[in-house]
Amino acid sequence: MWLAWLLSRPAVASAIVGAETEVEVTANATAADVTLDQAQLDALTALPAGKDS
Amino acid sequence: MEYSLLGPTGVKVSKICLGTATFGVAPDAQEAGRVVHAALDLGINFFDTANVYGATLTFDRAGAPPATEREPAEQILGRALVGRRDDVVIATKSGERRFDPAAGLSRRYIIHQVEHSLRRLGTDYIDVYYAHFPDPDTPLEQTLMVYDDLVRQGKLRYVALSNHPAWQVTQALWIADDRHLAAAPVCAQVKYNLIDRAGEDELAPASQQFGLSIVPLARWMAGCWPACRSRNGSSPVTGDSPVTGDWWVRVH
Repeated sequence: MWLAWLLSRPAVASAIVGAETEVEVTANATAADVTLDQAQLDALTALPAGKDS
Repeated sequence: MEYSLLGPTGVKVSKICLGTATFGVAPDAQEAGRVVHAALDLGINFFDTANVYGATLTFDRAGAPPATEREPAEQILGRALVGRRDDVVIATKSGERRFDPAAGLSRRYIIHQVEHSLRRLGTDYIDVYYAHFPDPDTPLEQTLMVYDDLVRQGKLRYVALSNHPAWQVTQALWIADDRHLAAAPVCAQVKYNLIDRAGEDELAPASQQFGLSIVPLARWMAGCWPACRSRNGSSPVTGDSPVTGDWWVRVH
């Protein structure tokens, strides 16, 4: 879900994701195809950001 | 799979780019080949690697062979892409200085590293070549001039910046324009996910203004969870308590 959100953000063309297995790469590719409506995108955007380590 | 134009290049890349930082560790070299082939089957045409990926201490993991015995990620990727080279967009990088004090963005270092990357990847050109990290000891102009030479030699197709602040991206565009260099960055790579959104402050508006793409390193680091927990009472999306971890799993 968050990958689809990331791909909706301004200027973002393609998201780099790692994969340890064929299953993971398939899951990530599928995640990118999820369509989020505006309310879902807005809710994710409204999450408090911070500093990932 | 959906595709995007990469900055001003006219080149279409898949919206998912396969990262290879841990190739040779997890997945191991053999499994990595299968991962690459699965990615190709899914329509992924964009592959991201670096001169230091795979076989450096950064990627050590319990149970994996030591870095000196691991095959570099570029080499594993290049082997997996044999026969498909012209179907894919390969991005690689140099300039990380963490374990190599001689590394940086000098003319001398970059020329060496491009030759090494070409050999490991088994190709005679690199589609997108990133400056992996800023190098405070080398003027950006020197870096862009050697990139320009390498583009004109046919070894690099496009140039890009990774982990550079927006002001340096802007400076690079300015230098390339002023000097008529074929080394204007076409995209900017930055760590960027739902939690770490620093790239939205300056880099995203600058990229939009100048027609670059952002290529987020979307890896969700281990630090996410405590960071989420310390900041939130509950998820604004689902109302779950972050203490249970439910909302993290759902969002993820």
